[in-house]
Amino acid sequence: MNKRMIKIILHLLFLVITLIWVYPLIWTITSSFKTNREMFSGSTSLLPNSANWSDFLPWNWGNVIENMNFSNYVNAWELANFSGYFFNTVVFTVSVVLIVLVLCCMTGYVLGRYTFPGKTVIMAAIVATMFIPAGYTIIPLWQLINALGIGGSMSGLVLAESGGTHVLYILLFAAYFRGLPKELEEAGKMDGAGFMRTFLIIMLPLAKPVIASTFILQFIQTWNSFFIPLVFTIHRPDLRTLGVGMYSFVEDNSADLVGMAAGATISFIPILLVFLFFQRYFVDGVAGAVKG
Amino acid sequence: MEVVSTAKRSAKKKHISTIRRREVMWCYIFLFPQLVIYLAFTLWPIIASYYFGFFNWNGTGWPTHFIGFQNFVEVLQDSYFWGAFKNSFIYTIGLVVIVVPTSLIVAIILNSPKLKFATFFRSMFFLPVVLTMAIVGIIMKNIFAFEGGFLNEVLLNIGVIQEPINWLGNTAFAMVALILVGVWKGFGIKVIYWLAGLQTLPKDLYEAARVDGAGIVQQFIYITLPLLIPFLVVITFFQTVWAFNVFDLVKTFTNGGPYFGTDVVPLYIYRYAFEIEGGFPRMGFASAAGIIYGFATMIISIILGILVRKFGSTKTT
Amino acid sequence: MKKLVAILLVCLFLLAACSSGASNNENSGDEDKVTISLFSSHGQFNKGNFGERMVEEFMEANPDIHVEISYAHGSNYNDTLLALASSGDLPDVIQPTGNFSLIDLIENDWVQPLDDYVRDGFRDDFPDSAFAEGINIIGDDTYTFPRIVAKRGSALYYHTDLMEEAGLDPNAPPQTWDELLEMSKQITENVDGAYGFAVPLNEDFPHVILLAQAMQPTLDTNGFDHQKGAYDLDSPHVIEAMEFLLKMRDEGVIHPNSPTQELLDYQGLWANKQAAFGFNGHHFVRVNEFELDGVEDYNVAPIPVLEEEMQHSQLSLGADFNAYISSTTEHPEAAGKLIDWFSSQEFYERQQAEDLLLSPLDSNLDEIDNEQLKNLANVFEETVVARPVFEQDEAAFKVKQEEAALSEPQKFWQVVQGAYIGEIDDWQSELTKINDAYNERFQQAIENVQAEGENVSQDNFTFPDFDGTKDYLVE
Repeated sequence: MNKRMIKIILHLLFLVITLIWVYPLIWTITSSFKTNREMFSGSTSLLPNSANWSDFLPWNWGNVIENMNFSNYVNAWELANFSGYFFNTVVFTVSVVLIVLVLCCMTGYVLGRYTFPGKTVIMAAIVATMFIPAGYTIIPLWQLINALGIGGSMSGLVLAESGGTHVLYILLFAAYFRGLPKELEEAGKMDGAGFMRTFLIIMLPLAKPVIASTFILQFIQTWNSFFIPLVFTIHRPDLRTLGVGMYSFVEDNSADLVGMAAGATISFIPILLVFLFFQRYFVDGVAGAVKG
Repeated sequence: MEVVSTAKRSAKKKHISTIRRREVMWCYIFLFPQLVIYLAFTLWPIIASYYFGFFNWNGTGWPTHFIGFQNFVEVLQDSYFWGAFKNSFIYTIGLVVIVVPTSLIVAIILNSPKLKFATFFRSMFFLPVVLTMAIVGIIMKNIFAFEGGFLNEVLLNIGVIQEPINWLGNTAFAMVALILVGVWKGFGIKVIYWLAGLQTLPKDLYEAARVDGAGIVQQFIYITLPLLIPFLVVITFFQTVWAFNVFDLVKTFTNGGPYFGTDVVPLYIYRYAFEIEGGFPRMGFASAAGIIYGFATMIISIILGILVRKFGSTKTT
Repeated sequence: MKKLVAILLVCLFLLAACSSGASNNENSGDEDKVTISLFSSHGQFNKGNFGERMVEEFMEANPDIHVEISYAHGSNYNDTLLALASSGDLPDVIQPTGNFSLIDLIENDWVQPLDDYVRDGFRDDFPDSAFAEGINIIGDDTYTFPRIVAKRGSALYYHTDLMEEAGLDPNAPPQTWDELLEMSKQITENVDGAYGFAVPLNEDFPHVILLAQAMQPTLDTNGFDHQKGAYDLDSPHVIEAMEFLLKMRDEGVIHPNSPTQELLDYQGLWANKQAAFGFNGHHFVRVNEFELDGVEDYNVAPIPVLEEEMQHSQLSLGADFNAYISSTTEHPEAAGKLIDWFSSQEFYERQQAEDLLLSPLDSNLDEIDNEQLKNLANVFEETVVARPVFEQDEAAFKVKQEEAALSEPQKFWQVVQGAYIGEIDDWQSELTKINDAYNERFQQAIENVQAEGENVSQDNFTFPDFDGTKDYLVE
C-alpha cells in the first residue's frame, strides 16, 4: 500500500512537471481569448475577465461567444491571412519532403548497392559537404533561383529549401540498402526484372522504415523552416509560410498581444493535432534514424 | 567444338557486359537529379560565397569592386563579431550541459516499465519540437516580459522571487532566458534519441547484474552509462551543431538584445546581409563573416567527429 | 493508417495546386485593363484603411486602371524593396521609408522623373518650400512630392485621465524636465499599474536628442549639428539630457519594459495606459486612432525643456518625399494618374480629416475637428524650424551618399540602451568614441568625393548664421 502511494505521488509529480512543460502553449491559447488591456496589465487567470466558468454550462452557451473575445480570431484571420499561410505551409512542406525523399532514396540506393566508375568520388563529394565551411550561401542561392526565373514563386521557394545535399538521409538509405540480402536482386533477375522494376517492386517496399524516418525528420524540419521562407517570400507576402507570416504579423502589430496569441494558436494547433494523431510514427521515425 | 564454345562464352560475356553497361547507365540516371541539385544548390553557392567575400558589394547586380582580404580582416578585427561569437559559444555550451544529462534522466523515467501513461508523458515532452521556432520566440517574448510577463507573475505569486526579474532587459538574464527556451524547444527530440539508445541495451546483462547483487545506481554506472557513450557523443554532436547555428529563435525572441547581450553570429551576419538601417547591405562582408564562422564550426565538428569515430569503434569491438 | 496519411496529403496538395492555379487566372483578367502595383511603407495603405479606400475610389474613376496594393513597414519594407530590386521586380509605384534618400534611389536607377506623366503645373499646386533640390527634385526633374505637412517633428503625448487619477491638473502637462520627473513620480506612486514615462530603448528613436534640442537647437535627430557642420553626439547638452534620462530611471518612474521595447511595442504600451507620458512623432495621432483601438483621454504638448524660459525647438526639412514612379514600370501614364490623385487637394484634405495626417498644403488649422491633431499642429507651428538644405549642392549630396556607403560606427541609440541597462559604465567616453567615429567617417566621405575631383569641404555643411530658432531661408 505504501509503495503504491509513493508510486502515485511520483506519477503526480511527473504530471505537474509535464504540465509546466506545456504551459506556454496553454498560456497562448487562453491569452487569445482576452483583451489587450488585460494582457498589458499581466493577468494569469485562465479565463478573460469578462467570462466565468459558468458560461461553459450548456444552458449559458450564448455567453461564451460573447464573453470569450472570439473577435481576436476573426481579426487575425482577416488581417493576417492565416488561412493562406497555413495552405502555403502545407504545399511547401509536402513538396519539399517528397522531393527530398525521392532524391535521397534514389541516390542512397545506387550508392549502397552498386559499383560504378566514379562512385568513390561522388561519395566523397557528398560527405565532404558536411565538413566544408559553407560561408553565407543564401545570397548565391537567391541569385540562382532568380536567374532560373522562379524567384518569388512557390516553386522557387520549394527548390531553394529542398536543394542542397541531405547527407544524413543519403547515408541512411545507402546503409539500409547495403544491408539487404544480395539474393533479392538475383531473384529479381531470374524473373527478368530490370533495374527500375527491381528498385520499385522489390527494394522500395523493403525500405519503408528508412522512408518513414526520413519523412518524419524532413517533415518536422520543413514545417519549422524559417530562414529560407523568410528570405524567399520577402517580396511575396501571399506566399509566406506560417512562421514567416506570424513573424511579419508581429512586426506590424506588436502592440496587439491578443492578436498575436490568436495567430500563434492558429499556427500551432494544426501541427499539434497532426502530431498527437500520428505521434507513434513521429517517435518511431526519429528513433529509427538515430539507431541507423 | 572449341570454336563454338568460345563464341558462346564471348557472347555470354558480351551479354553480361551489356547488362553491366545498362546497370551503370541506370546508376547514373538515378544519380543525375541529385548531382544536378548538388552542383547547383550545394557546390555553387559555396564557391560563390567564397568569391563574394573578396568584394565590396551591396547585393545589387554582380560584384565588381575587388578589395582582397579587407572584409576578412575587418571581421576579425570587429569586436562585435567576437562578442557574437562568444555568445554563440555560451549558448551552445549552456544548451549541451543542460540538455544532455537531463534528457537522459527523463528518458530513463519514460523507459521504466513501472511508469503508467508513458506515451502521454512522452508526447508532452515532444510537443515543443513540432512547433515552429519563430512562433516559439514570439510567444516566449511575452512570457518573459518584465511587467505583465507570465513567468514573473507566477514566480512572484508562489514566492520564489520577491522582485520581478528583468529577464530580457539585462544581458545576463537574457542569455539565461534564451538558453532556457532553447532547452525547452529541443529537449523532446533528445529524449527520443536516448530512448532509442536505451532500447538497444541487452536485458540479460541487467538480469546477470541483479543476480550479482548490483543496485539500480550501480547498474546505471557500470552497465547503462558505458553502453550509452556512443549515443552520448552523437547527441552532443547534434545538439552542438544545432545550437551553433541558432537563428530563428534569437531573431524572434530577443533579436540579439539587449545591447548585443544575445547577439549570435548567424544574426550578426544576417544584419549585414539583409537589414539596411543606415546604408545598404554589405554582402561581401556578410559572406566573409560566414566563411570565418564556417571554419570555426568545422573545427568543432572535426573534434566531435573524431570523438564519434573513437567511441563508434569501441562500440563495435 | 499510412494509406490514410498518404491520401490526406495528396488531397491537400491537389487542393493547394488548384487554388494557386485559380489565383493565376485571376491576374490575367481582361486585356485592355492596365494593372499597376503600389508598394507602400505607410500604415494608411494597410487592408481596410484610408489609403485602400482612396485607391478604390481612384479605380472607380479610372475603370481602365487596376491598382494592386502591397505594404510592409520599417525594416520589413526596406528588406522587401531591396529584394524586389535585385530580382528586377520593382513595383510600378513605390512609397519607401525614410531610409532611402532620393540619391540612393537615383543612384541605383530605381526611379524616374514623374513630370511627363502628371498634370501640367504639378509643382505650382504646392507651397514654394515644398520642393528642394536633392530631396525631391533634381533641376527640372521632379521625382516625388510631399505627403504630409513639412514642418513636423515630435511631441509629448500625455494621458489626461492618468494625471487626474494621480491628483494632477490634466490641463497642465509637464513643461520642464523637473516637472516631468515630479509628475512621473506622482503617477508611478498613485496610479495602480501605471508608470510615469516610457521610452523605446530598443529602437533608433531620438528621445535623448529631443531633450537636448532645447539647449542645442542646431542639432538634428541624427546628432548632426548644422551650425558646426559636424556630428556632436557628445556635446554637453546631449550628456545633460542623457544624465536626466538615467536619473528618471534611477527614480523608478520609467516603465521597466523600456529596454526591450521597439517603437510599436512602446506605442502599444503607452496606448494601453501603462505609462502617462511619452514622446512620439507626428503620425501617432493616426496610429493611435486606427491601429491601437483609439485610446481616449490624451493630449499633446511640446517636449519638456530644461528650464522654464527655454523653448523646445526641432529641425525639419521644408521639402518631403512620398511616392515615386519606378524606372522599370511599363505603365508610367497610369502611375502618373495615380500620383495626380495622391497629390490632389481633395486627397490631402480628406487625409487630414479622415486619416488624421496634417496636410502639406496651406490649410486653416481651425478646420481640424480632432482636438489632439489640432494641438499637434500648433505644437509644430511653435517648435519646428526648417534647417539649411546642404543637399542642394550636388557635391555635398555625393558626400552624404558616400558616407552611407562606408561602414557605420556603433549607433547612438545602442549606446543609450547600453548605458541605460548598465552594460556601459563609462558612457560619456563611449559617446565621444562614436562621435569621433562618425566625424571620421564623414571626413573620409568628403575626402573620397574630393578625390573624384569635386569641389567640396566641410564648409558645405556648416551654416554659422543658422541658430536653430527660426527657419533658414534659402534663396
